[in-house]
Amino acid sequence: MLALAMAAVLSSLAHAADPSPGIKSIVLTCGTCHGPKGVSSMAATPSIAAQPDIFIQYQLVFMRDGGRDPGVMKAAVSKLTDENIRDLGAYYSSLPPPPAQKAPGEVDEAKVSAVMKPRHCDSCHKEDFSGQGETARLAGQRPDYLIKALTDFKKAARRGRGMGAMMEVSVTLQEDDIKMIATYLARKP
Amino acid sequence: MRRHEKALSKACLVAAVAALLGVAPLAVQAQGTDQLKHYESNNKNFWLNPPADWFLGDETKEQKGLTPNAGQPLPTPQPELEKMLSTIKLPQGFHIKVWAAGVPQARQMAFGDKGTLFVGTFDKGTVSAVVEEGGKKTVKTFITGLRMPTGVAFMDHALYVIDIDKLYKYDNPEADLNKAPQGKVVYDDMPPYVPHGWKYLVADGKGWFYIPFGPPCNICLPPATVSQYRHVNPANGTAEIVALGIRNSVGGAVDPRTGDLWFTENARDWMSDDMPSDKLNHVTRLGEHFGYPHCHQGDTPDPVFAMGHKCSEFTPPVVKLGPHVAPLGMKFYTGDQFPAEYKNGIFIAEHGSWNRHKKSGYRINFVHVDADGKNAKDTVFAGTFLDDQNILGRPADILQAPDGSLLVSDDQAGAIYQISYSK
Repeated sequence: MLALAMAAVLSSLAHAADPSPGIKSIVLTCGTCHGPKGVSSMAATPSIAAQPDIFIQYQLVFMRDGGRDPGVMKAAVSKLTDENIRDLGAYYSSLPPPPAQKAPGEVDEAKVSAVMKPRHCDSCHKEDFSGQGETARLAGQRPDYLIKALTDFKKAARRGRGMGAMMEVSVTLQEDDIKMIATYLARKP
Repeated sequence: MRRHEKALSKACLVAAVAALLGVAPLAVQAQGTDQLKHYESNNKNFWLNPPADWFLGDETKEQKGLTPNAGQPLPTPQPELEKMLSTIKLPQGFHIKVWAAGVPQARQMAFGDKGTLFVGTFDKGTVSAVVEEGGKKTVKTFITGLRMPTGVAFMDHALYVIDIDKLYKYDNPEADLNKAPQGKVVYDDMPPYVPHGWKYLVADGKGWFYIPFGPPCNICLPPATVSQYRHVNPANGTAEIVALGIRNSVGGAVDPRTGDLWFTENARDWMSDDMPSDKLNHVTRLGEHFGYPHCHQGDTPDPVFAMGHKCSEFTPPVVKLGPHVAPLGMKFYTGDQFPAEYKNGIFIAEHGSWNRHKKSGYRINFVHVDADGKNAKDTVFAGTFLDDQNILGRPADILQAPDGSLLVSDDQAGAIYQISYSK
């Protein structure tokens, strides 16, 4: 039984880069909330697999150094060295992206387009919403986390890069729009 | 070597610099991707509540899409720094090496009495202290909780830090580098504007500072409290305006031959890739006007803000340093380590361009010029900190070390380099 489980774990990890030795134990800790392969099954906790390298680095730096309120991440980031952060960025960005998520509700393509196009989401997050540079991957993200993030931006409760632009685009979003956008993005492969 | 991803599309870098300014955005008018970004920046509301991307508001068709460089989340590790420095071209006999790595967003530098190097930051809000411990450099986060403490100076056993609208004094800071003393505000008769509000401290050698004030816009008729240099007495918080008509200056130095103030100046954006040039200026009398916003680079009236003025009314630059090179920190060389022809010449850190398709700057230049401003000669001294069009480093300040070598701070790579000469 253990051998089968081990084999399953090993084969699923076969496509990803291995975490460098310095972060092996840190990755285990991250995995307790963000999932062993960076795909989260915990409520309101984001998947971090296949997030862009620089995005991961910036968010960890801001949470560690005070540019962003770390909240529940405080203990996790406080002892991270610069080298840890670089290695974590390299590792998590190399992982396979989360699969398209199940998400509640209807998605009317025309309605979603009417809300997202004027806000130029794809201009930073890319047309396939896989993110780039310091901008997050949205495709396949947990819908409950997307709702949390958009709502935090709308309320100016979230800082640390992207605040200005994200506040601009979210401040006029209605609650229903946010839910619809979250469902749309979560279902994207 | 881990390459950083290439520059992002325009709207992305809005996000990139939004947190820089920590300001709330204005309500945005919907902008189609074909439309040019436009803000009316000639009003108080813009200056006090700038949009997160205030510097993009004069976008033109020809320069559409250009945005400031996104920077780096972390300082570049030492091995990568050394690899980069091996590509820097210097004149015969000069060498460059890493003096300290891991100095995040390293900006203006100043030595303390005991050899501690204090270093400002851009928007990290901290001041670092670099000390030698056990044969290697240790970087301490000495002061925290500031906004944009880009300028530092050391005078009369005290550290001075300039942060947007407050000049702080920290007495005897080297007594305990693990615990900074409480800062005392010694001058704050300054406007609150954050755009171009980050500053530099030019010690005049007589106990006062020259401090630059930039306009809260790219191009506008600025409030009367900015676009100027002031001469400030930190002992009693009095000051006077010494020079006007200046856009964004983040570097200056007093000529040891005359006591005159010289300063670098970043010219406006969104005219074109090649216009107008950034400047090296020389102040020869109180109240001298250098042209902004009416006239650029000494000879080019602004299409909107000339307001009937002729360029002949203003003082032109001594040197046109080049379009968008972004000259920041500068110092007159007074040491004996470098060959004699460098004595009383000016080293300038060129931070590098963003409002230009092909990057310019990203290097150190040397200007040889007579004390009266004649016979100026501008040459590239160390460069470039680019790999093709990839930004590896951005020089921010120059400081002469006690042994006559030159320190260079780099706020992108988060490092300080040392340039030495040996026959």
